[in-house]
Amino acid sequence: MITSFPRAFRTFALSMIMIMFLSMGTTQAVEKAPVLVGMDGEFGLENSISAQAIELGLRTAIVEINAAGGVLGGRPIKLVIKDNRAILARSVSNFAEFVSMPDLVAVFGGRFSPLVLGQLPGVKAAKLSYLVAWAAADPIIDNGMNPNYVFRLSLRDSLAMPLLLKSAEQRGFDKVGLLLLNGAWGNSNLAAAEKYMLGIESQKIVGISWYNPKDTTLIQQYKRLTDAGAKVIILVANEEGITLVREIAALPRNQRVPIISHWGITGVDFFNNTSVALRKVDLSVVQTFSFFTADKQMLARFMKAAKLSSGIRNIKEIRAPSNVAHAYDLMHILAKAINLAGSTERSAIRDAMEKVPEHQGLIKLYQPPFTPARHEALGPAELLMARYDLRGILVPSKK
Amino acid sequence: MAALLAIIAMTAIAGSSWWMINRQNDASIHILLEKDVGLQSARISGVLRGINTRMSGLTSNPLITNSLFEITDKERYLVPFLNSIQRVSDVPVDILFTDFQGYEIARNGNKSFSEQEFNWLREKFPSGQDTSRIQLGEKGDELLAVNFIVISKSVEGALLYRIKLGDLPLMGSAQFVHGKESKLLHSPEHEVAAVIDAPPIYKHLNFTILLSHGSLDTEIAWWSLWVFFILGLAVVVVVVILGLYLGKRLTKDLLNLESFARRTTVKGFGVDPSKEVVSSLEISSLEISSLEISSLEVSSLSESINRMLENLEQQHTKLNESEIQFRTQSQRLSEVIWATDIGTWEWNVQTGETVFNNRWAEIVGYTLDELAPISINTWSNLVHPDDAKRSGELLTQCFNRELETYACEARMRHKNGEWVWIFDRGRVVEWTEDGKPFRMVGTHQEITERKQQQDEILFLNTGLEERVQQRTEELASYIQAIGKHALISVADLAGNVIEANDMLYEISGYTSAEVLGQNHRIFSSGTHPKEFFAQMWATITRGDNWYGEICNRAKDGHLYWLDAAIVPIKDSHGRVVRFLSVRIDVTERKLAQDEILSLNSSLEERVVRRTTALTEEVAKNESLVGRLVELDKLKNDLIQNVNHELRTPLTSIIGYMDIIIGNVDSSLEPKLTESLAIVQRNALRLELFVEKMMQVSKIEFEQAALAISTVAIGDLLGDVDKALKLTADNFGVELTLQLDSPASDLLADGDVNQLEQVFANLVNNAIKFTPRGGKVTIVARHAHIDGGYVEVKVIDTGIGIPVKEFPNVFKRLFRASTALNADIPGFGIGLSLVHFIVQQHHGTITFDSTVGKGSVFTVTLPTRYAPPRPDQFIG
Repeated sequence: MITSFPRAFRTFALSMIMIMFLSMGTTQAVEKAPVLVGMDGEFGLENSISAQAIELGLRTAIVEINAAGGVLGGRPIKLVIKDNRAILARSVSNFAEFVSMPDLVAVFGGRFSPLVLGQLPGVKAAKLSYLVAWAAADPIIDNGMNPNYVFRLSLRDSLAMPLLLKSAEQRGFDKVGLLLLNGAWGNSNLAAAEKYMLGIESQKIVGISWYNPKDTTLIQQYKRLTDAGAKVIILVANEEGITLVREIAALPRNQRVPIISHWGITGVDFFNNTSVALRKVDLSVVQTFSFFTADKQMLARFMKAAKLSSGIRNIKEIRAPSNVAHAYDLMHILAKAINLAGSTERSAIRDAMEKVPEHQGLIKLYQPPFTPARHEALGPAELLMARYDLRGILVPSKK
Repeated sequence: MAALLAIIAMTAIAGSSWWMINRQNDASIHILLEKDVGLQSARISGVLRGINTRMSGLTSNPLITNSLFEITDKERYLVPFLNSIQRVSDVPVDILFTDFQGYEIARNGNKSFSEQEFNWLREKFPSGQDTSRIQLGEKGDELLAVNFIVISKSVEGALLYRIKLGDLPLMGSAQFVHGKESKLLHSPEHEVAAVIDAPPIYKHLNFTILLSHGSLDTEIAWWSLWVFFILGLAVVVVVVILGLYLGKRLTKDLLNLESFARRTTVKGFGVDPSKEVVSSLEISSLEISSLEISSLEVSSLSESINRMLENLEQQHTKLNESEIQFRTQSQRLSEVIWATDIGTWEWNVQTGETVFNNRWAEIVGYTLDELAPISINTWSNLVHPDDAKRSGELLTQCFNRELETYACEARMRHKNGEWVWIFDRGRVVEWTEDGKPFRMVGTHQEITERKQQQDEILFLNTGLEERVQQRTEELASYIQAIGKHALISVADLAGNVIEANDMLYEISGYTSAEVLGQNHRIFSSGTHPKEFFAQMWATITRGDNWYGEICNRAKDGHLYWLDAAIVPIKDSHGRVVRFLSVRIDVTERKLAQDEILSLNSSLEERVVRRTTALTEEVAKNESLVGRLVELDKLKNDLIQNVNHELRTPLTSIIGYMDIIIGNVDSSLEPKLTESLAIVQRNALRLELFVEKMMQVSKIEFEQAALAISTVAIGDLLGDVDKALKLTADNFGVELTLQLDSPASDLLADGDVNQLEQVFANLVNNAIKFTPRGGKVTIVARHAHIDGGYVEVKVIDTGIGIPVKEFPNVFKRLFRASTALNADIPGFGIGLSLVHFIVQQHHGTITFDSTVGKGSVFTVTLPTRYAPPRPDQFIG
């Protein structure tokens, strides 16, 4: 025993030194290792600009966050991007890869509600926060998860549709036609419209027409609605909006009725594909934000970082402005949550998202951004109608 | 023995007949099977094509492609859709729809796909090529195929499908073979196969349909064997019995005849044949008559022998005569051949043996010995290959009796290497019994010289024809071209017009009926002396061309001048037979010349007069231009001076005034303080004036370079409205903007900055000249006139402008008396600037005003930047 003590002590001392050394090394490594944030977007989809817009918002925020010292005491945030080409299976596969990445704290989704909805079972199983800066279907947040790992800083169909209908009414259009995408997004909007119309007597939905994704013509649907007496069309569409505007522009003037559109059209290169036709069509689109009405100080800060992240010098260069701002604000909120969580532990970050007390964003002062009962950061107050000006810039409509 | 042989023969006949019938039967069956297998192959090809078309069509079906994007409602539309496809091209099919990794999205029923099938599918994903395979299923072979779903060049999903080969609509005992098996098809006598023309996706499977002979009723024709055998047997029995009977009868007579023959000596036809024959025949007759021949047949035989002997004698005589005749003819023929210098040939078509005469060999420069051994190949080797072919064809026609005589011109290689032409001619003179040519004879005649002459003539003729054709075409085009510009006519020797072109009728005003047959004198204008025509006539009748200008009179009496050429046309003997006239209308040139002549007389005087006037005008303009340049320079200098001499000190004055007023001591005399305030106010006013002047100058300077783009006037007015709201509030005036057309209609081409100046000035003026509590309204609408205008009205309830001052409103530095009276500050620049800019935009500005009630200024701007319209003033 006597002879063994010093050996035991020596072994213990050596172990302690080793542990200390290793733990120091680990701490050093943690400080340097980036915190990963995933983004799964429709980059490879032809004509689409939505994923690129979200990426712009994220990168701009990350430039600011990293310049200010990163998160968790000096760790930079690194964006990991995966392309889903607007294919659900690819999106699911991408999400699975994100789940397997250590130090990945959250995943940002893209424009398409069906794709986001398709992730929900995976999100629930992986307990990884899923952040939505574009997709607007209600069930994305009303998903029955408890705790809910999905957070949205974007429009919500049940808010957008009432605004679209109200905008029509304010402009004196009492007979409305709905032109909807045949799918979850269209259904979500129809439900929102029907709910809103309960008790409304001054306005009437005179017809509902459906089209399938990538339909090459929508004019029959449009004509059915106008034949039914619609004085304005509420459009829920993505790239199909281009087809519709071109087709309406080709009609005689007296057969063209105004289009009040959901914002899917802003996710595609809408203006460049319709610019000439668009002058002949009265089209307004719902937005949540305009750089033209932004807080000057916040705008200057954003533009400074945007120049670094993407070389953007003028707000006119920003396409899909609302969603750029969504991603930008949401990334900042996530950074605050990471710091609040104090680690990259995923459940802790989810919880922290609900506990960020406030955030002064580009869009507004979020007080707080999210709560356990509310995973939508934006409300009806942020919504506005906008129009493309002659240079293709979305500018808020005059009230 | 004979009977036995007969039986064997008959049995052989029966057997071979039976074999032939069965072969024929087989052949019929084979044809039927081939037809059947062909039909089945075509049918299966069609089915496979139908399956492939349907399945590849499904890959672009919106319900399928949309399901790659969204599966939320797949139970509502996708599954029912797939379930509705249970059969493709009427063949039951199991379909599996997968994502880009080969994971199931939906199926068309309950049939599951095995792990091996999934693995096979996943292996195929990297290539993205539609493909198929055959696999062994529970109920036999199955076809497993995949069509990939490609979106924007990327494989995003797949449709895997499975079909039992047994479900493909094969008929009868037809069966599928595929892959390597199909290459191992054997015993073509017993099986018939057809390769299916399948779409590329199945091509590599080598689908083949196999039909076996056994599939049809191929019962051996045993009945025919028995029938033939029994018939044969019956015939043999009858023949044997008959043979025995006749044999017995004939044998006796023949034995008698033989003994008689032994006794009788026929001495032949010797030195004195006639005597000997008669004597011998007599003996024979006697002997034969004395023969005891009971048989009628042998009796008639002996008579036949007597007649034969008689004929032999006659033929012998004829033969001698013929021989003599032949020798004579042969001699003559040799002489003819020698005299005509022709080569002869004789050819045994069957054996190829050939005989040529010496001349045949001489034609090609050889002796017969040199050509030995001679055969038909001697000819084949020497004849030109091209001609050999034609010769062969002609010979074939002869052998087929399509031609009686073979005749062919051919080239043969001479010993010296050159080609010699021969005329080869011959006939088949002997045929074999079965109708084939046996012997052929003919001649060769050398025709080299004649051919060369022919070639030369042909060559000359060909060239000639081409040249004539070319020349004719050239002439026709010349005549056509000339006819477009010239009057052409042909006259006979008496000067009567035979032919004329449309131009002549057009210029002269006569119709063809009035001209043709008439003398050229009908065109005479009477302006030329008789000598003129006499000289012309003398020239052309002696065969020379005449050129000159001639004045003619048209039917309506007006004169026209022609530049004419008259060419005599001669016959082959050089005699003049016609006159061709080609004339060009030069009336205008003549008139111009006349005018020039008349002008020339007074030219000098007028030149001097005009030159003086021009010199004066130029001098005047030069001084004016110089003055303008000078003034422009002065203006620029002035602007520069204003900039430097006024703005600089003004800035100092205003700056110091701010300091002074800011530091004014309260003890300072109030009057002085007030004076300082006046100085400051006026300094600010002066600064504003200078700014305005600079602005006018700048805009005038930039007028040539308007930056025209489509301007959203609605938005622009919104900006103006927003910017001046504060000013309006300060003046206690209510400012409202009213857009009466959709913003999309309020578009006009223009320079956005300058247009902003226009509306800002108008609204600013309106606010300034409207008393507190008044209203300024901006109304914009789209006006559907002249291709569309945007009309903007700025309406105020201000002090108004007196009617008498209306004409001066847009003049620079003009200020309305009402404004001066009300002591409202201003410089009289704004409206002139507005007027100027609107004019630059090809728009209009009008106004109406009533003193004490207010003014309405109306600006209209064309939607499209267009040429200017005159301004309209209302007043």
